[in-house]
Amino acid sequence: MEECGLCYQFMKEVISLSQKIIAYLSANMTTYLQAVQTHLMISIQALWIAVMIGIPLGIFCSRNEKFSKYVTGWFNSLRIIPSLAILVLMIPLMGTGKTPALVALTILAVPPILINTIAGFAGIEASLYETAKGMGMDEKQIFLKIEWPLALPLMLTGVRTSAVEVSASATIAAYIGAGGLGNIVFTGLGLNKAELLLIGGVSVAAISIGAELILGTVQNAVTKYQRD
Amino acid sequence: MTAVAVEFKNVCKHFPEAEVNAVSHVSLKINQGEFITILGTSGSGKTTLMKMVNRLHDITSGDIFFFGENINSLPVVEYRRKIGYVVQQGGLFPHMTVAENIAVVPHILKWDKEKIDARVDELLEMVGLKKELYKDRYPRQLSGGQQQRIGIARAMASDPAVMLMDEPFGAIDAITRENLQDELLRIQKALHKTILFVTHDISEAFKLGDRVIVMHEGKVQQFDTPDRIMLHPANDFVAKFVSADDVMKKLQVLKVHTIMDGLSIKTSNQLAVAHVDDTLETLLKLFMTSSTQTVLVKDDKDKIVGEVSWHRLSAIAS
Amino acid sequence: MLAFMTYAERYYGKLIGYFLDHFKICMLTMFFSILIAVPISLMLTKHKRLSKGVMAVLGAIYAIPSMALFAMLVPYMGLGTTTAIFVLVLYNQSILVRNTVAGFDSVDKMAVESAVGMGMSPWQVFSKVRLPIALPVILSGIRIAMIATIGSATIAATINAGGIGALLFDGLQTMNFVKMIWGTILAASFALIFNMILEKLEKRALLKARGEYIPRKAKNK
Repeated sequence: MEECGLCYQFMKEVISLSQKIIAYLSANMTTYLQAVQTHLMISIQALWIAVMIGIPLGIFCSRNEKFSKYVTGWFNSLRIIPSLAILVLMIPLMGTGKTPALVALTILAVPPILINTIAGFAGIEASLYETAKGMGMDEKQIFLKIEWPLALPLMLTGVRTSAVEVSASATIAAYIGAGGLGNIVFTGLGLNKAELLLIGGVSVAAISIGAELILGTVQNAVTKYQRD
Repeated sequence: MTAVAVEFKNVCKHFPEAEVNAVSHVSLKINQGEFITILGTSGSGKTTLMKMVNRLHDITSGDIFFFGENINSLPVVEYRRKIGYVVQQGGLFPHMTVAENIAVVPHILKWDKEKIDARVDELLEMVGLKKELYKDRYPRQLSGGQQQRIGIARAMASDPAVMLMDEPFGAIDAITRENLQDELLRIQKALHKTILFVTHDISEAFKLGDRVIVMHEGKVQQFDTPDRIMLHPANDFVAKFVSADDVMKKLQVLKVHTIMDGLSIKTSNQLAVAHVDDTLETLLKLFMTSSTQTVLVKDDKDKIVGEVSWHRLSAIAS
Repeated sequence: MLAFMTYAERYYGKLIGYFLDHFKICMLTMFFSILIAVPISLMLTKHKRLSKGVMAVLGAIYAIPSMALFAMLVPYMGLGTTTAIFVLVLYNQSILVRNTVAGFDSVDKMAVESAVGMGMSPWQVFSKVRLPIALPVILSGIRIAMIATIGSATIAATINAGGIGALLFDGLQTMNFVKMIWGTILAASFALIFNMILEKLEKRALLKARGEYIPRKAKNK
């Protein structure tokens, strides 16, 4: 009898919560969709800028051993510092708003891409490079046909790590004015509204896992040759 | 008269920060169609000597001529495409399928697709791999021996006149290596490629090479046929290195034609027959199993061309 | 700059408090994380078939941002340190289990076989052969998990877990630059210090596993 009572209580809560979620969504659909869009946009922008910085810089570093050591050490340290600290530090430096948020997210996204790009290019066996040269490939052909495809799997690992990192940090970036799903979560925390917490939390999780799945599939496709 | 494919003229190679020359004052001529093995220990300069031919190492002084043209006067990348290059383990590109690997140079040379496809099939057949089974596999799905076959096929893709092979069978088990050596000899006999083959394995060098370059401390110690190196080593180093005073070694290395005499007896079916290119070791077994005093010798066309007496063979030991 | 120093002078007790709170959360998290991860890993090294499924589940949890997990769990578990530690422990499993399994898998089978053949008891085989060889990779996992924990623990301040994150969010809400900068410095140095310490341990374990470790005493001789 008592068990049934608990069951009943639980079911009632679930139903009431679901009703609240539906109510919120039907009343604020535009706000919600806008939050999702903002979240995605700022994440993709940060990731794109990080790729444009990380990959060329990584390729450059892989060709300069001295420079590479320095840069890898520096960016490895950057990676260790809690992301919240980097986000918060933006305010004294740049104030609040979309731009400081984008800068902070980019800073967070660069290290994994950069470090993996360096590792990808530096990890190519010297003998393969020499074989390609011996067969009569010029520098451009060696880069496009040998180095780039061989480094690609690791570069994608970097992009994948960064994507998950950025979409997660974008939530917290709401605090420094990035907008997006973080706003919904923080409003939920402030007003103690479970429906907002769930909507925000589940959406953020879905974006992260989605990014992971998409990039994972791409990576699987380019590493076909590594499997039996 | 056959053309000279590769000529070294007083060639030296000095690496920065090294005390002595890696290769010093090498002059020699390699004729078209010859199978040349370069034999030496690690650090002897054998690989350096070879890599100067396709300009992976630049020459410090002296000249190398490729069919009469100074290689330093040729555009380097295009020049390399005229030379097949095989390295240890095949040096296959792991992210390309077997077919893509073989097609690398034809692709660079912008052959059309049908021509490339046909060439890939032809080469796979030549190295004894079924095209349906292997074309779309990736290198890591192949055994070491198979990878090496693909490496050879890839080097031959654009039908280069000269092939450079850098210890291609070094990391392969003994039985597979024997097979690959036989295969390579068969291919060379059919296609008359000029081959420069680097190895540290004496038996391999003597088995494959029409002539052998023995290298030590950057200098050519002797450049001659296997038989002459074994029977008349140029100096103490060569004698010791090839164990010229070891009877068993001689038997393993020397071929029947070195001690063959002209026919003096009437051929009869009862006599045992050896091939001109068999080793004396094989000949010895033949004597022991057939209990005759004379063995007949045949050539590639199964024609009896000479004979070897037991007396002649046993003279090798003394 | 002056305000920056005055704040530290006036509230150094508070700053140390934030630091210690953070330390407490991280240590508790790591304690429970390792306590759970080790048996799971040992089970997975024995039952390879389970490994793929378990790793997939742990990996999926790891892909969920900590903020999202906090948000989803608060309605059920409430605000506070317990919820925070629960989430952080959950997260660490992916990192710890993957590295621990990889560590034990890296042990040469021949080494184990000869240990058994020499008459070592199962416990001796574990403590004298398998663990020391696996240790560098396991420690590497612990280091990465620790760094992740330090970072996520600052975010846990949003659900009232306290620690350095509380100082940061406090600064954010009141737009107090001094607090923000102190928070950043504390968080960054906390992470960098622990990374350094754990890296040292990892290096030592690696040298030991490779048989290259020279104890201090021997070095001085």
